[in-house]
Amino acid sequence: MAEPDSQSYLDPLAISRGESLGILARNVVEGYRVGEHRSPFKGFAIEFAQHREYTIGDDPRHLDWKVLGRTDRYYIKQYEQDTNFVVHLLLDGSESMNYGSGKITKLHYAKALAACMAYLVLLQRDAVAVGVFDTQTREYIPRTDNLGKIHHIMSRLAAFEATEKTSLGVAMADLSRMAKAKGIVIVLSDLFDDEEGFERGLQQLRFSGHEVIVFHVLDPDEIDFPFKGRVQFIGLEGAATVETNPADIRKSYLEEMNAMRLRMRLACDRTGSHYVLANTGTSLAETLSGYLVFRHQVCAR
Amino acid sequence: MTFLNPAVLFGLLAISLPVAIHLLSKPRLKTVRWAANRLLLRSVQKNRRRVQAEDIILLILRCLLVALLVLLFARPAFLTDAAGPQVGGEASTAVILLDDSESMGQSDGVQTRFDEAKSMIDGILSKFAPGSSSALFLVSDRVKAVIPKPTQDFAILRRSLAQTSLTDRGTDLYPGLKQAVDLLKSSTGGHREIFVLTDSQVGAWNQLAQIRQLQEANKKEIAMHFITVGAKGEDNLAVSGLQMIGTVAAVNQPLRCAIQVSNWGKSTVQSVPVKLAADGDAPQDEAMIDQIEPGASKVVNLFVRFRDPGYHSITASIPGDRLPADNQRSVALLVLEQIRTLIIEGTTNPDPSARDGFFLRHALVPVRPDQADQYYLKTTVGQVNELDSSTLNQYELIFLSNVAQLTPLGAQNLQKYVEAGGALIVFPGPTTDINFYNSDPSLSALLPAKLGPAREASPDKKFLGWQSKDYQHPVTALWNDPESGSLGTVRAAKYFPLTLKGDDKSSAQIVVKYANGEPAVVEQAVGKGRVFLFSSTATTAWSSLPIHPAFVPLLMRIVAYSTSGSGGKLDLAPGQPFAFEIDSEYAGKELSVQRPDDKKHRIVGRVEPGERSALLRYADTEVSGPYQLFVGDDVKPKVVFAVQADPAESNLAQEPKADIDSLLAASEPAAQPDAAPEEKPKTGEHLVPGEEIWYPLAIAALVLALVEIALAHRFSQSK
Repeated sequence: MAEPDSQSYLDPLAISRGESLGILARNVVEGYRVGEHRSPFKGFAIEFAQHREYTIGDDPRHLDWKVLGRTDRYYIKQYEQDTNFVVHLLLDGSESMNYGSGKITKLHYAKALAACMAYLVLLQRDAVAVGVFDTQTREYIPRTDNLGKIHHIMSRLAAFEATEKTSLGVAMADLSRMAKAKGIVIVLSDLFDDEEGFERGLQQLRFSGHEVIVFHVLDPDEIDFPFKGRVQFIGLEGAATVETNPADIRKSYLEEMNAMRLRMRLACDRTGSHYVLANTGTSLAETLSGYLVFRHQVCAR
Repeated sequence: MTFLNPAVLFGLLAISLPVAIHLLSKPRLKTVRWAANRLLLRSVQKNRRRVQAEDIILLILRCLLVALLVLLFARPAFLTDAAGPQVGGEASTAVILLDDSESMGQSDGVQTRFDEAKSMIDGILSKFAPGSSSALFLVSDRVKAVIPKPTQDFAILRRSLAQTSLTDRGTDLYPGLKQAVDLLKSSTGGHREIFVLTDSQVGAWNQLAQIRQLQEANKKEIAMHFITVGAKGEDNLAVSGLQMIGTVAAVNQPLRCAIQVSNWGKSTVQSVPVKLAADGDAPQDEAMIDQIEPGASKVVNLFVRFRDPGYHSITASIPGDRLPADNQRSVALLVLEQIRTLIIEGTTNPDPSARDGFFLRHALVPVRPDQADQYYLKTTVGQVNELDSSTLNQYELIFLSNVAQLTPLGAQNLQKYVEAGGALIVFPGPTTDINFYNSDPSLSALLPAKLGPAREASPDKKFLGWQSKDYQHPVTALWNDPESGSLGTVRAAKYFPLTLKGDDKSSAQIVVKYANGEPAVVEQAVGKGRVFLFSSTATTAWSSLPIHPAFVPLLMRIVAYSTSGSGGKLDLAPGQPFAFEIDSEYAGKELSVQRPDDKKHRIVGRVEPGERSALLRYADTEVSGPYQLFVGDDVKPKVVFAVQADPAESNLAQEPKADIDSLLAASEPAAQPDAAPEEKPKTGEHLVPGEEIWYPLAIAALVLALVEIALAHRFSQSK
């Protein structure tokens, strides 16, 4: 399947819908400058947060004189700081992502999804870092908040070709070590990998304070298994070849697939991560806006 | 078991076809580079055994289906021991005689004897050796060749057999046996056999001696097998007779009918209700016979009335039993609206009571003068010159009493009148000119006898009486029953001796004789009409008849007999064709019939044109009961006739077993006439193919095919 050029990754409809919704940080994130997102650091900025009793060592400039005048008590005024965040886009670049029943492969769909999200993040002046992995991290584009770098990100994504097996757990563990500040980690993968390693990776990222969103990228064929007649399935990533009559095993396959998706969802739930099914048969705009709407509602609570 | 087409069994090799297809078939393979092979592998492993089991089940079913089809076309059949008397190991040429008489309709509650015999024939056919042939005759009092020549196509024979139906005929086996023997003699087949399937009713063996003779004469060439169906001596109650008594059938006049019920069983029957109905309507009269002894008959008199003139039927019935055909009996009759009579008096007398027609006039209208107008019989009294008129056909009967001579024109008119269907009753008297009577060409042609010179009764007794018993003619048969009185007390002091015409054309019959044997009354049919000639007077001048109690009933019976439509031709025996003349204007019109066994009108042809009149013909009269014939769109039947079965058929007693056994014994050596007594063959040595079993195999193959289709469909569904 021919790889589209890098410009085609930005879906105008997805961008326009995402632009209005924005990517909000569900958890508090540690930013390096004042931005749209809540910071864990309470300071003396604009927005009042709370009162605190004065203790020795506090700067007397922050005493609330009005309270002192009325009550003879010493209280310090504290203010909340808004900050920016870093989004780490972690893209599965293994060979299994090369499957595609329609015009596009899962890898292309994931690349487009990653590009759109990177653009949206940069657009709201947050920072984005992109990593493409299989058994190890193949591409890494360091953190940037410069919107002009989006072309660079897209060309790097376009240039990547999937050839190897996946090791999702390793990639996630690497990221948890490399990322210095808490941020949002978005994983885009078909998750055909070691399930325990994946859950371990999630736990590590969450332990490091990251918010994790998992986009489970699947092709409609993988969800519905609509094959007829006698079919030889040649396994990607070195899996064995299977020759069978799909009608004979369809029900059983769908049970396996649903069970696997359920396990992934439960792993995400256990670690407080978001699980999002990205069906490549669904338009990019629908998948992205669907999730952003959901996220908007969750963050507004 | 054996196979009639064993070569087809090579087709069993075709069982390898499904196996080969299963093993060698390479379905077009589609290749997919698949990411989720791990899930796929788990599914395949989980379902592998089930898929293999399904494949094997389908393979076995397909192999079985092929095997069953091959077996089916190989025509498997059971082996039957052919050592019995009826079938030899070699091919036979046979004639099967099936009794289709009325008594074969006796039912055992499940099937009739006729159906049982049909099943037996089916069994006989299935036991014939390959290459055998058979003809099929239906035998009753006639022989009907259903399959006239032996055929090897038993399918046609079976089909023809299935289409045969019972008749209400009597039985006589000899003519059928004779025809079968003649047919087999002309055939070239080796082993020749006759199978007779009958209920062995006594009447069927009336010609037993001839049957023995026939069998004896042909026993070297032809084996006869007599197979008796039905149990011996079953009870049966039957309506064995139905007669109208005396009176004329006229509109609104009660018509008395004598119904005879016979008990052919071996036990006394109690309380038998008898009903009488007209035209198939509800019964008009009924009576109960208290008891009928075994072998005895009882008669009950019932009455019926008719509202409309024309042809009608009367049916007497008793409750149903196992032989339904004889539980009712029908007669057909013509009902008249009015009967007009003309009495020609030879002399005139001012004293009415002394006139020649006085007694006739009063006897013909035996009611009070004020009721005479309502009475159906009208009388007109006239003189000889009345006969010169051309309007005689307005009368149903003309009486001549003491008429000396007729005018030539009167005699000619009278002849035309009788030939056209009129009735003439002649009473001579003192003025009668016997020379004229005997010589006039018209009158002498009408009279059934010549009149001799008047003679006095014997001088010692002064009178001559009529016979007192053994009346043969239907008109006088009533007086055979002493309860009806006696004609023996009729006296004649003087009479004209009657000499019956001896020519072949004459149908003259004596109605009643004098005690000395001389004819007292004679009659004959002339054309469509009838002429009665008395030997003495209709007045008391010479005879006591006019004042005898029997005079009125005698005259009534003569009137009834003379006016009974086509002269008794309305009642037929089963199978007898019916013919009836009607006006020529009806020629070419559609003729339809309502049969006793069918409630609907069926068009059966057209009215045939004749020279002076048209003819209604109907020949399919195998079933007893009333038949109504309709012309064109008429609602009322043009004519009704009735078919009456032979009462003897109701006697279900069978021929003594010894007689049948002797016939069988005489027949058995015929199969091996010259051979020494042979040991009974051991089981298996003389086995021949018997009944084929293709039917259950075909059913099994069909079921298997359906199961295969259903399973293949089910297995191909997504799982």
